[in-house]
Amino acid sequence: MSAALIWIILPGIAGLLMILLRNSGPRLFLVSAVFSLVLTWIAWQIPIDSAMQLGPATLKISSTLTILGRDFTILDNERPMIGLIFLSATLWQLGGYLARPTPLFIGISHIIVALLVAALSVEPFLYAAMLIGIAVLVSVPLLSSPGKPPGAGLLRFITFQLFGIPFILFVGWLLTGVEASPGNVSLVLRAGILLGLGFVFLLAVFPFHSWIPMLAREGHPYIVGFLLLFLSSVVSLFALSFFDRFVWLRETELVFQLLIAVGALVSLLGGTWVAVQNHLGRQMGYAIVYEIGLLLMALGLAGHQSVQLTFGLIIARSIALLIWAIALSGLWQATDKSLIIGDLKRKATKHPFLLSGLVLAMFSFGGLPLTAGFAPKYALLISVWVHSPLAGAATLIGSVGLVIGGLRIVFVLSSLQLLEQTSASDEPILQDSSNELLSDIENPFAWLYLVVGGGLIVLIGLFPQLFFGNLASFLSVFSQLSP
Amino acid sequence: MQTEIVEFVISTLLLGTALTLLVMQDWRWRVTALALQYLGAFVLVLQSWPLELAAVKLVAGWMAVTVLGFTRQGVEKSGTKEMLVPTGLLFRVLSAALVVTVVFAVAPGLPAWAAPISTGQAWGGLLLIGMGLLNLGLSSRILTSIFGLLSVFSGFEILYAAVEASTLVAGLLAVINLGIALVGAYLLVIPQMERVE
Repeated sequence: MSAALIWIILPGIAGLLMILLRNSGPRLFLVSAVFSLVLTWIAWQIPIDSAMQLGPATLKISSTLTILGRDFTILDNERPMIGLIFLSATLWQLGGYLARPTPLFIGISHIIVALLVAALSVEPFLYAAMLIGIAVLVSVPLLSSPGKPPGAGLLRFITFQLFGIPFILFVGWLLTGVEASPGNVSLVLRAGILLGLGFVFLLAVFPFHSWIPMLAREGHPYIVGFLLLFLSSVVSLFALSFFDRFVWLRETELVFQLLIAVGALVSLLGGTWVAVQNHLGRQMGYAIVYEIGLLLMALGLAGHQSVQLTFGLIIARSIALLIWAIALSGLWQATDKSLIIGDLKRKATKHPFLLSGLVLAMFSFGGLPLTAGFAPKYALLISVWVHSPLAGAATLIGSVGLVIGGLRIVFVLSSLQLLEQTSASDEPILQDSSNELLSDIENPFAWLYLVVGGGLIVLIGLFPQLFFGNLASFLSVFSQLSP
Repeated sequence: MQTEIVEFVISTLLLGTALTLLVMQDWRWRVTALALQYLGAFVLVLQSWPLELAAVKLVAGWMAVTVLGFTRQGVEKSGTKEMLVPTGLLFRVLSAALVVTVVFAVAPGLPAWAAPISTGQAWGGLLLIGMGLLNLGLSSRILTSIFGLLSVFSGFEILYAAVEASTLVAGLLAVINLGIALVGAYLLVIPQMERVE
């Protein structure tokens, strides 16, 4: 049995099966989450390339699977990373039970995760760009609703993400030349420019970010959140592997300065846009743009610091974005898919828990103390400030933008008229199995959401060492970047 | 000498197909042009790849064309018609002329930049990339955008075939081409699908 069979082929097949069984009802979300949890447990507990005695049988997971002459390799030191991906998938599939995106989400999310794990394990690793491109194409049915023409954001999303592939593939060919003659400045410059362009498209860096807020406005917030989280996280890990593998890239100081400068600009713009948006979906989209800026800066810090901060940011973001996306999904149904901040006042009396979760998630994105995002963002800010106070200030302004965005929701909450009667025509939100119309106070799932989701954000904020203390275990994934 | 003649013929064919995709409004002409474009790309890829591997590109491309053609035919039957924009015709032709001029200027230098790429491949590849980008930039309609994306990828594949001959790459790029066509077909029909709550 090979690792690729467990974490790539098996989820892929499960995804196909779940697409066929998509009409089995919301319990399929739970089955799907349990399946991902089992894969997480295997990644956590069972070593790769070591024989294990299971009763009379011996089990050995081999690291490599060869397909069409190329290897898909998942090494033992990559298990924490694989475990993190599947744990995150588990949480998002579990959250799907509350958010109720299209039933296709269950199956397609498994296929997307399988493709992204394949992207991180393929050798030569540059082929990852093609697998990411296929994942983008697979996600399209999730982002378009029957009976409605597809939005402009969807077409732009497909186009820009696919544009990254040619650049990355050409870099692969150029890099063989660079490795043979690292002194050839023009060759290094060409490779650097193509590499930069490839990642500008794949990571949706300004000015190629426009599809993110467009998609966040057009699509189901939960699906958009899932896609943006997984795509940007895997692409940033893919970017880290470039630094891990190519000495010339690690030794070019200009690359790191550029990453910090661009990252600061992107986070400044993203955060500022969050503050001024009137649409909650677009706010989430721009918050992701802000996070992409932070990821670029984390990459720009170089060495082991970049690895730890990248994983720290991904962990904090996975949780905060999940809470954010569930809240928006509920409000999306309640406000008849409008998500305009002005429309919230009418609904706020009925859904204070969702709005509270939303605010907590936004504060966590902004890196406010006592929230999950504080520890990694504070560490990043301190490190960036040492390199460039200007970049640090830009990041701080971006962060303030997110907090202002959250405060605007708090203002809506503070204007609640608790005695106001709710309209009989209100849409259901976080429905229970009997499809009754429930306000948050009456809805056990809303309580569960606030206690577990909101509690998790605060718990991580209070005890960051419990959740971020083990970041060093990710260092072995990128051994050349370790001290 | 013979290779140069073939390259010239193929480059002319690609220019014709790219112009048809950009200027013509009738989807039948455009689908035919795309099919011919894949044939031209196949001949250029054949300079670098063995026949059996290069054939993958041709087959995948023609499958993509078939998917889009059949879907578009079905969509038309149910009443959707693309708008004609005659006033944009001159603008499109002039834009295409600009792209062709840039390609003429850049293509001869590409083999010096990436030695395995021949001048014919550089010309054909860059032309398809440029015209594909133009298609993508000038229209937000689904079919035109998908044609543009497929053209860009065809152009890229011509250039990339000269530097990389991996079976997995050929397979994955074929999957991407087919995936783009299937996505295009899906997006064409989805406005007419019934909403299931």
